[in-house]
Amino acid sequence: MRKIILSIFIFFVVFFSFTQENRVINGYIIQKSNGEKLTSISIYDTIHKIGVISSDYGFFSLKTLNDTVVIRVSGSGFETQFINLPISKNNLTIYLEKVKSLDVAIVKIKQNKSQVNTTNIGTIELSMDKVDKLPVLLGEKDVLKILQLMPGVKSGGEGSSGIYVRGGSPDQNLILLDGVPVYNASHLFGFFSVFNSDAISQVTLTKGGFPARYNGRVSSVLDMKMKEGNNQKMNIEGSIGIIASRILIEGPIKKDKTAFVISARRTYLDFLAKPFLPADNTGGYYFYDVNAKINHKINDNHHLYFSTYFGKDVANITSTSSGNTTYSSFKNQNTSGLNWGNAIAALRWNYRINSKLFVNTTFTYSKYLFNLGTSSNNSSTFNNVTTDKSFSFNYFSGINDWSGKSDFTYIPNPNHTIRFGFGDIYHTFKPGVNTYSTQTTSGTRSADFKYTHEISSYVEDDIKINEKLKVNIGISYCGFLVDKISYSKPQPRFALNYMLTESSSIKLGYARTAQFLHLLSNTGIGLPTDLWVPTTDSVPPVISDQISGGYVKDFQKGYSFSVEGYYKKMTNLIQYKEGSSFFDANTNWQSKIEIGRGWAYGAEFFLEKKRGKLTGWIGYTLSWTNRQFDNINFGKIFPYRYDRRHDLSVVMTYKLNDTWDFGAVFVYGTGNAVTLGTQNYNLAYNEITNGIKNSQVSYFNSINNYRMPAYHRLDVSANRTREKKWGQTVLSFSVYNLYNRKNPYFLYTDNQQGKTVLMQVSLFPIIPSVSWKFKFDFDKYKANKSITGQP
Amino acid sequence: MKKIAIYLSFILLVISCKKEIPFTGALQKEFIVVNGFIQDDSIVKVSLSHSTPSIGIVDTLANQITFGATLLITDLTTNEKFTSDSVDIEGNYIFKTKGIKGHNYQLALNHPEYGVVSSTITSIPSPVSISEWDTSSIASTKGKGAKNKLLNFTFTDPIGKNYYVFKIVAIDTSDFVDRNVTIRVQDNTQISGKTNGDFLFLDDELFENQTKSVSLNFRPSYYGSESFGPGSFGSNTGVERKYRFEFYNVTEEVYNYLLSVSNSVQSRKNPLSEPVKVYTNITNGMGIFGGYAKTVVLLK
Repeated sequence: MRKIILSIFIFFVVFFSFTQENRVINGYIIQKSNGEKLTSISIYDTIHKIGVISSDYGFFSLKTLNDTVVIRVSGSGFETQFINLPISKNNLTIYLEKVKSLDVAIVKIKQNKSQVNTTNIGTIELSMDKVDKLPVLLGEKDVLKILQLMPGVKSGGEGSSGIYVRGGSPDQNLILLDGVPVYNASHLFGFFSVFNSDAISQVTLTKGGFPARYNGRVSSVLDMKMKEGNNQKMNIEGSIGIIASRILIEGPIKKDKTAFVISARRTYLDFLAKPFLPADNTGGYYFYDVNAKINHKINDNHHLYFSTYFGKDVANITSTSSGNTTYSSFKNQNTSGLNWGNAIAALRWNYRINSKLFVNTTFTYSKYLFNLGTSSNNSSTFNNVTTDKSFSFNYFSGINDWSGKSDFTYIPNPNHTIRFGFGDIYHTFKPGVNTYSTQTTSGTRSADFKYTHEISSYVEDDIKINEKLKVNIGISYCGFLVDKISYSKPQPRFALNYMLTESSSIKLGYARTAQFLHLLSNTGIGLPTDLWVPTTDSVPPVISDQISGGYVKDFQKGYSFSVEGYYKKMTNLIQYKEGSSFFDANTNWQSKIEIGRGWAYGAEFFLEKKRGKLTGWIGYTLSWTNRQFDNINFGKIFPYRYDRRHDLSVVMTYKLNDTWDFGAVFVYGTGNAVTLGTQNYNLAYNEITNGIKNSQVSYFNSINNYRMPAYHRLDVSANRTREKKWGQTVLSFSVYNLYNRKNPYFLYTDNQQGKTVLMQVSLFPIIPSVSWKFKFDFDKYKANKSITGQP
Repeated sequence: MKKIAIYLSFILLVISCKKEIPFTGALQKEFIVVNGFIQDDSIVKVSLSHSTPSIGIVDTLANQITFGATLLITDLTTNEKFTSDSVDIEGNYIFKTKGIKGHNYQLALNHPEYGVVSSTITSIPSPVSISEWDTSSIASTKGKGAKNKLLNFTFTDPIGKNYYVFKIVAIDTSDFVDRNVTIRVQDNTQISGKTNGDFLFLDDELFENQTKSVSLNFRPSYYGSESFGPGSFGSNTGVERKYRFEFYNVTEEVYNYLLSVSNSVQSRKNPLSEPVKVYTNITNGMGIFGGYAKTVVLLK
């Protein structure tokens, strides 16, 4: 560790000593209409032919010759600006306006984020417009479901919002909301994600070639940023769907200085189901979530942000019964419930230390809790003697995090962007607590809580070696302290981009990543019962090595094509032992797991049309994913449950005019691998086995030996946009699973008339839905009112 | 919890549908199943049956009994060979020889339909003598109410690698039905066992060739009900049964087989649990060919 710190120090000393300053133009790029910081905007010195791109926080720093310059500021969907800057003007804030042109407005694709000239490999930046235009299940827009349409990203199954990236399991995705990890990203047992897309402004998924600043998970980093709040004007928008409604309010508290945004969503499944429940039953199911953020500009150099999210799924039911006879009476009440949810908060401070150095410091809190309980109270009276009986059982598990980190961006000249930082996360793991009580007994069984520190540091440099070659080189160094033992894992990272022509390049990447958290899951579909557990002395951290390479080409007329291949090896994966599950009486999870290995490899193809009335993409992935555990499947390699040989997505949007646009999505995927017995046979019967109740067992030649039928479906949508005097409305019609494909959700065998048959359960048939969205624009309302004298 | 499950199942049923689909996987050929346990000083018997496809016509257990095989057992220690001279109606092929502790055996089987099948046993185990035992202690629990009992016993682990299987059987003198009771290793014992309720599995890795005391925690059993004893749920009635402690010293193959069988049976009760592959040491077939020795103590 000491050697590495010394090396980093020497690197910076040598580096800074060779950097000579001329003039450094720096500042922020901000969207004029709402005050949001803009990332990936090009700032280009047209005289000296030098340019940079704005960072994640809208900050830029352009070092150029000490001369009057004209800079060009441009970004997709924004009006390009040319600004004449005399020598004395170096600090500035640039406001960009959105373009009005129809053709470009349709696209709104982040064309400057063309992957051709960046070192990013395996990176997807999702335009939130895509989320609005495409068909959705039950009218609920979902960021994660749009990501599932990208190559290399798979869904878990019908309706699932979980993502499986390049053969990794869901716990191997670091899902960050404003820099805070979210541990369970699912509502309604995985059918919807917890992210309210109205509140999200930016989504980036990195699935390979991780820069050193990303650590903590081995398969992907999904970095989502909440809207900052409009510091120019009030804005209210919302939508009403068939299962949920949502609302978002944002606006300035003090114009140009302080702004807020708050959004909320709640389902009304509980109200819809009420008529179907028996009269003596009460309860239901619903989920809700709330996002809120406030930002304050202290001055040009300091910004403060506070953001929070909390959401919960609640299912409960209470049944009562009572009766009377001549000599006796009884009254029973049974209550069962389960709930789970996340709560996060982040306090962020952006500080521009000088024209070349920027720091983002964040303090965060994250909590996930799953709770399940049941209770009964029974009272009976016989011959005037009353007997009361009661019983209750409760189970909970969860994880809490407190963390702090600082991320520095140093841009000494246009050829280097250096990032470095450090942080610590204090985890509290609560892997399963059972409590029970009756009127005479009570007890608790609990696995030990674990208190751990996850410490991280990194340094990386994005280097432009010449006009054709760029590299990103870095190292992440992480440590984990648990039960008086420590692990430390250096993780080298490397990515390269070589421009073949102005519009095509090849890319290479290597990343070693370490993960100190594990998720114990029986299903892998993101059920709330899944258990977060730490690395311990007997359960080492997951280590992954991934190499990837690709080719990217931009064509004329807005087409682009990319192909990427990857090979990933993972060690120290955990899985429940054969026959184990989360609900075993044994609460020591470490005795229920096996430790093994995994491999994933494949190729991803992506063809996208970015401009014109018809836009969209075709993504195809050919992949293999296998697992091996010494004590599972007799040590033989078996396919991972979500090993999917072929995965195809075809996505299209068509803008007919200012009023109507249409969307269509077709997906096809090889069926999931499941374990299915092919033969039954008798157990040995003698004095030892006497007492085993089931006399037969199923034989299967391998775990996950059978493929469910292929998954495919077509969804379509139509959106009707109407401009109103007070704002805008969008009426959306969607049809999910247009040709009513019976896709497999799970398989089981059933005995029917002396014959065992294979049965398939499907979830969603053709489902039409409608939703209505509105956006109230106060400026527009006032302008119209002043013209007409009435709203 | 049950209500929640019913409620969610209701929602699932409203929106879901099920249908029969064809089985499209590679068809697994039926195989022969060998169940052969050789015990010291007991007549050697091997029962044969065959598997049936998981999908299709359900076969009766009786129809799975397999006759017509030729079996040869070789005592590899003395090189004596034995053929079965009779088969009973339950498919037990009976040999005119008894198992001998410490001897190795080989099974060779030929069946016109299932071909040649073979397996071996390395060293029939010896019975383990229990030097002392008692059941007077009550297990310490945090809660109130009925207490689990403790069986404390001491034995000397024989030289070599040994594998043990323990059972405690509640003896029912009224209807002649014996029931296994739930057992586990008491938490404060310096050994770790694997339990799936009815059986407790233990190997001697941590106490090779030592005299070892073990404390087993078991749930008392009462006439009329397995669960309700004095004090539980307010009941003061219930007559406790007597118990039989069965201590098996088994070969590694039998240990692995029983452990996987036990896991498999447990996993059937829980739809969320991971699938279990049942162990076999039969080449070109399934089942088990192994040895064991038994020690039984009637608990007071």
